[in-house]
Amino acid sequence: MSGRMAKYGTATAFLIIFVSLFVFSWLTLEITFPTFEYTSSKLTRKLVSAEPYDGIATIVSRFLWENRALDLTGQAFVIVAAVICCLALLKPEEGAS
Amino acid sequence: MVAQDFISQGFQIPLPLMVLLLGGIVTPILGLIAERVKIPRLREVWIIVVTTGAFCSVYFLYQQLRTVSGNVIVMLFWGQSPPFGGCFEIDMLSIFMAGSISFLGFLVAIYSVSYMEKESRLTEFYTLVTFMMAGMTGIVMAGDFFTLFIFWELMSLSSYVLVAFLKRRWGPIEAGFKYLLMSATASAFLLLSMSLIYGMTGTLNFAFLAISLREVALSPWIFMLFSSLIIGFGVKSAIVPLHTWLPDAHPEAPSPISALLSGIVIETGLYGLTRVLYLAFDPGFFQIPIAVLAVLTMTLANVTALLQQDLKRLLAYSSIAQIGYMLIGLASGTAYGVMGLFLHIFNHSLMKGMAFLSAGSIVHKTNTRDISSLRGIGRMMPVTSISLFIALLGLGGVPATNGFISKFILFNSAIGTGMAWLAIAGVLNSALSMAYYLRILITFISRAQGDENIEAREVHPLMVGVTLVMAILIIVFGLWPAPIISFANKASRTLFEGMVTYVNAVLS
Amino acid sequence: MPPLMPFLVSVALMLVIGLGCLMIKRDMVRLLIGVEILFNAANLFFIALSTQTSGYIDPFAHSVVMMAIVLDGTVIAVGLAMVLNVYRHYKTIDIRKLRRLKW
Repeated sequence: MSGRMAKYGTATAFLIIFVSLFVFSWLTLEITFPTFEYTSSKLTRKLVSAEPYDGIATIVSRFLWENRALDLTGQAFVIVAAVICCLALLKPEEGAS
Repeated sequence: MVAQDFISQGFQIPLPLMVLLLGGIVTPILGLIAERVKIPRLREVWIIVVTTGAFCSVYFLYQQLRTVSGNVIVMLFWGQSPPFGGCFEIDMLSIFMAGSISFLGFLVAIYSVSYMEKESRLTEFYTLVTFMMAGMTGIVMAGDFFTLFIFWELMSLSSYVLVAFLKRRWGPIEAGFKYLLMSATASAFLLLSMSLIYGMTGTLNFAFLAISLREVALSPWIFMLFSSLIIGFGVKSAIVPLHTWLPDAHPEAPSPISALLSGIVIETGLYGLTRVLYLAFDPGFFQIPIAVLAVLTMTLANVTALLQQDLKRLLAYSSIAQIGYMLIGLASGTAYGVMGLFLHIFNHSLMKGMAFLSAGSIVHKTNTRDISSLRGIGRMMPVTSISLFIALLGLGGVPATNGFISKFILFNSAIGTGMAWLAIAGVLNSALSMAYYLRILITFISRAQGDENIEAREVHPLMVGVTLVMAILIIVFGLWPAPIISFANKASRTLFEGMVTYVNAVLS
Repeated sequence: MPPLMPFLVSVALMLVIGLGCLMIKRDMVRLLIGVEILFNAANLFFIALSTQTSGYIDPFAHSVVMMAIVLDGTVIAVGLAMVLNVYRHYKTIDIRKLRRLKW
């Protein structure tokens, strides 16, 4: 039973891969992606000029710390949660039960 | 509400979120102290304090919200303003969801004091429960799509490990790994949908998104965006082709975690889907696909639940069916239907949470989940069984429970928007679901016969007390639903008439 | 301004490769690598879109990608801890052997 399911599973997987390759190639090559077409007129975007190519890293890091401090704080909590997750999964259970 | 003065704004986080995050950070320190100095029950007292504090601060935030004109608060962090900075945008809908989250979390915390007392690694357990609740509160209050993604990852990460918590048996580990794989794929698709939105509009802020994508013609890229949003939010909220992790994960998790997962984590996924779909597109666009998904979800889940022998697995399939009913409300596209959706979210968290807690009490005493070997348990554990009966009657939609009222509103709204086939499918599925609920009732009441005799007494008073309180609340809200209906009404109006206020609060 | 078409083709190709890897491979660590490929497809699309205004670069997309890389790193870390526990129980990391929970 599981052998038959494995054989059908691989065949279905290849079918899905071929169909999705077809759909994605049609989508990307035939229809242009509407890049920034629907930007509303009220939006102001802070853009950085691309000419001094070396300084972009410092400008991006300054943008990150000045404008996205909320997300960085949330990310710090995610890292703490990931450490506690790994502790919970890898600690040996003492004979507490 | 854009901050002009850097110094005076300072640190502004909504109070429930700050209480839960700080509580989650302090819990490992308290756990370490409790183990060295041997103070018993320190961690349990702390988590009850934290969840009580979260619930009270949601109430204070609600009072503050009512005094602000238009009922929207935008909280900026350290003076950084949208569209570049992340923000919290709190309206009535956020308070409604945050209230449900903290209420169910408070009840589950009291229950798990007595359920988990013989387990190891309790410090990590309580820390992760607090972080999961903090993640959910952050999701409902986020005003920016990437802020929502960060808190989404916080909630998901904690829930992966909480499902696989009892790791000395093989069941939770297998269920936890399958859940992690499917949910991480969904997060990747959510990030892909964020990149498509950014590519089309240049921003990820919810308010700017609401004014950008409204009058867009249907093109294949919009369809791709819609599909990846459905995949991204749909795995977490168990819509049918993507639901296969749920019947494995919910039975194998410890019972308080099953109650939290099935009661409120799934609904947070549905909240995310509702919020983004109603902000980005207009309702005529997605009515038919969501209606088809609703019928598919309800039918498949109810039919499969008829074949189950495992008590908690049957309740897990019943959760998927309830998500199908909620999708009817999402597909209706009117304020009345969305009010039914949010009312059913609150009612389902009470009913399904209480069903999982009672089932957990029964499993705790008898160590078996098989329905046919639990014959006659109703006579030995009367209070738990009565609570479970009330929960099951509520889930089936019997009048005088709050489940009846929310289902009535959902089916009524489906007829109101002209999709009568949806309402007929819903009513038929509701009747079908009573079949397997009644099977549990009959098995529990009938007298134990022959050679199977199980001995069980009533469980610890804390566990019984929580289930009894929730059962009383179900009946009270069934007979007097007016305050909850008015609150859900205010919550759903923020997606329709309140959209203008929501957008103007950020743009001005 | 570099053309968007090669980037779109690579993103679509990475999506198909990631999904195919998740469906075909039987080793659990390879499945986690497949999830990582899916995350990186979305990150690549963000970076490709930041160059599309001619003469300028949008640092918003860069900051989103930097935070998203950390987030999916944590998911993979927890996944690997779970694979360790699976090995202790099942003595194999073949996902087709994890069929004890059925129906």
